[in-house]
Amino acid sequence: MNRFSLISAFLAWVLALALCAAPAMAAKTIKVGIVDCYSGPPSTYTNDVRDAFKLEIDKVNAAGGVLGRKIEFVTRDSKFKVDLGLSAAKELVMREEVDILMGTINSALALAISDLARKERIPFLATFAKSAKITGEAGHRYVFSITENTALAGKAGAVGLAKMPFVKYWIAGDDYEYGHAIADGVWENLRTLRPDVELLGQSWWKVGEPDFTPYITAMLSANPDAVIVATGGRDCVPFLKAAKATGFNERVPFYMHTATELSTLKPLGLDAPEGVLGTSNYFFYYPNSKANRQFVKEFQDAYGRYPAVGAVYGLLAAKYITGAYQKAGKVHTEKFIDAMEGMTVDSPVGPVTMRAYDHQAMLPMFMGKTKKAEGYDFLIATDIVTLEPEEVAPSIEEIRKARMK
Amino acid sequence: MLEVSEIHTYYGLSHILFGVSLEVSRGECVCLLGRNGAGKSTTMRSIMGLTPPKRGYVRFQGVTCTGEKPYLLVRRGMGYVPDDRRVFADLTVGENLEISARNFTEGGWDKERVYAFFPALEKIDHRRAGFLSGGEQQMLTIGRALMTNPELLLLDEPTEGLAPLIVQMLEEQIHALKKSGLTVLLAEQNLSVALRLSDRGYVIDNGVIRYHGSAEELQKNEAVRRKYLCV
Amino acid sequence: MDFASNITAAALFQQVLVGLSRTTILFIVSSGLSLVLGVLRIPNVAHGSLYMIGAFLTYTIAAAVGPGAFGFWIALVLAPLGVALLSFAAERGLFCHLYEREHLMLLLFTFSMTLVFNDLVKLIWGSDYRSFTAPGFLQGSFDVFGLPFPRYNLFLLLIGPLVAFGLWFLTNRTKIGKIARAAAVDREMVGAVGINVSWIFAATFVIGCYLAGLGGALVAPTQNITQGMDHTIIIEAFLIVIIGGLGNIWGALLGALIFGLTDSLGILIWPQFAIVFPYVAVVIVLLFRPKGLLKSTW
Repeated sequence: MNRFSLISAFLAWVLALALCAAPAMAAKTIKVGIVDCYSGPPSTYTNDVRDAFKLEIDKVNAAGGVLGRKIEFVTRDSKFKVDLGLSAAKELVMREEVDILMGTINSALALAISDLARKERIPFLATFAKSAKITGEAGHRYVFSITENTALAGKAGAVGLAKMPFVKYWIAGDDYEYGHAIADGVWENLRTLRPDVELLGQSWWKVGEPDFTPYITAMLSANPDAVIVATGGRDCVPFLKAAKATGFNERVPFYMHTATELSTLKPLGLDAPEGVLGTSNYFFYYPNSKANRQFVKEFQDAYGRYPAVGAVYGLLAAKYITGAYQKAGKVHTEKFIDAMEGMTVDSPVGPVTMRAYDHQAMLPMFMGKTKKAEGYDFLIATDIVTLEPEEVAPSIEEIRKARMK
Repeated sequence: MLEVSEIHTYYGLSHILFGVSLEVSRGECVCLLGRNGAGKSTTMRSIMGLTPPKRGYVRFQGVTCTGEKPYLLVRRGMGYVPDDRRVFADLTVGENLEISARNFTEGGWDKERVYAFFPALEKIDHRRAGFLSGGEQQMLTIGRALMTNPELLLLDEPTEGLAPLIVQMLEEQIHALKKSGLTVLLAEQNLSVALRLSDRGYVIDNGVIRYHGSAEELQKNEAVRRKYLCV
Repeated sequence: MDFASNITAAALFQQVLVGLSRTTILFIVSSGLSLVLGVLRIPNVAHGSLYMIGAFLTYTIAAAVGPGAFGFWIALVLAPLGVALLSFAAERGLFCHLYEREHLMLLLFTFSMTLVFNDLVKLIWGSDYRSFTAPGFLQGSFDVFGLPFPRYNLFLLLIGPLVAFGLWFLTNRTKIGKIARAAAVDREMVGAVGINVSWIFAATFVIGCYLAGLGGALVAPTQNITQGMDHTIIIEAFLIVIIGGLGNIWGALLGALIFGLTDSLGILIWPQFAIVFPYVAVVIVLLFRPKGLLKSTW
């Protein structure tokens, strides 16, 4: 061998080493892959999740990260389609080699990703998807829910309504799985707490129903004491609009899950109906605790808007991820999961514990009534009652039964 | 006024007219004779641009206008009375005439003059055109074409399917039109009516012009009549 | 299965009123579709998209002018005109070259226009839905036999007959209307009396599309303005036109009445399955009168 070829071989060997080392160095971050719908109306909700998540992650990284590693995250837009979202999740696992999966507002997609997570043995944090199946009958070791679900919401609604003097009820809502799940959740629990309640009748309209007026007038002529309105994300705002237009809210009290949420009330502005009962996981103005105020301030400074409920889910996700790795002591999936179980983190709504049995974050629910208020160009909730997580979460016995099916 | 030269017309792929040529001079009444399916209506439709010829040309008042859109030909001065009458059934008699009004000048055709010409129409001014008898519809169709103030009137089998009394009345009216200076190209199966009205005539058979002569010549030529007109 | 036990005379009367105001929107949109179908023989699937654009335009114009009644009225006038202008451009640029084609081609073509318009809306307005409220004096409701009747629905009840009268006047008393009716049945002969049918078609098309835009503008305060509103309305409009008789405007009125009333009465009588009622009515009508209730121009 002459000198030239010796030197070039040596250089090639160094280069090869450097190339091999590079990905190894890059792997020294903790990677989170978020699959969610960032196009169209659902994005109002999902943007909050991502933005709050980012805010907290940036804080953690600035303080040196977790176990000496930075946390990075990538997002993928599912466009609310299950096939798109699922292949994005697969790509995140195979190509991006994420440590944690997170997402999504679409329940069907969340269940699909949960299934993928189980097969791939990667932890999946469900944010915003409201199907009770996620931690119920389809729950398993690798899925965690840091959001409410229809069982929780249903029970919360029932607990709240049971305290009210209403006896004769009417149920109305979107004729699809979510609508019926919420309605059943509320009604079954209400009947247990108040055996004297009566169901006068039910009306079901198609999702995206353009005109609620005939339904509202028909309901009014039945003269119920109160109405349980089970609408999904799309129809909440239009129904409230119709309620105001027909004066429905002034004639009959009605309960709608998420009626008091910022995302629902903001688009309606001062035209929203008053006196509507609703449940929600979060208000930026209640509780008026230091933790909540600080969170709201940071979010507002960063993004120029009030945080809605999605922000809490994003924050919780970040806190759980960083906390669990910290507790586990190393970046190891099984230890991470063990650490998550039973872990409590601080949040703007107080301490939130991740129940070990079903991996459901024990979030409190707040029930309130919509009302105009000084200083805001949208309605807020008043007469707020806090429902502790133990009051509203399905019992471990109920979960055990659901998973045995 | 009208010069048709060697036109070939097709319905889709069917070749219907083979090099048809004819001429009509101002003030004349020329008839186009032939059996059912000989090509009379197709010739009329070719001239009127409803079924434009693929080859050959049509010249009207010195201007070549082969296959021009029918509405443009009407504006040039051609009036068309189709063989199936085709009144606007949903409109009244009066409305049928009103929407066809065009090119009106002093002394020309307007609704008043048409009603003076066809008094029977005036009586049914408010009736829906779809409810008229055959004779009434034929009068309406001719009246409608007159409302466009044509210089040349293309009359396609006006007497078809009408009672003899009505045919007689129509013959008188067409004669009066000719007298008033209107040039007429008349396609007819009814030989006697056609020959009485016309100055000259063409005989068409299977899309080809077989004979051409004056009315008297046609009247006398029994051979032609027997061969092509089935008289 | 529970039938509602709340069927009183007052409730029935109120539901009829509510149904009639729904009929107004359905009639306005369907009559436009019927007009285009009858005269131009074009099954315009994009009719629903124009309705949607009418609603979006109403929102934007009102937002630009400012809150209050003035913005609402201006939007109500301008939005349908905007849609008419858009349809005029589409007609002159594209449709007028297609009149001689088969129906299937036209159907496919208008369907592709639906996709184009949908993307146009997404481009200009984004995919979020909009909320638009009627001015103060049209909000709220007043009592009819003790049950609330929204003011805006009363407004619709008044507009409906106005539009119907306007259409009747246009088609029966104006020259252009009469020519259009003649052209619906025999466009060739209309050309043969010297009328340039092309402009009649353009005018008819524009008027039909104006009606779609008007329907969208009128419906804007009552529902979410969103993509997807074109899908629902076009199915309903086509069904109404079919049961009414193709090209027959009074058929469209009859069809809209059947649809609107069965919908609102069904909600009262059998609220759990109310969605089904209008479609059951359509099936029944077609079983007995497959060509539609009134005469069609086809």
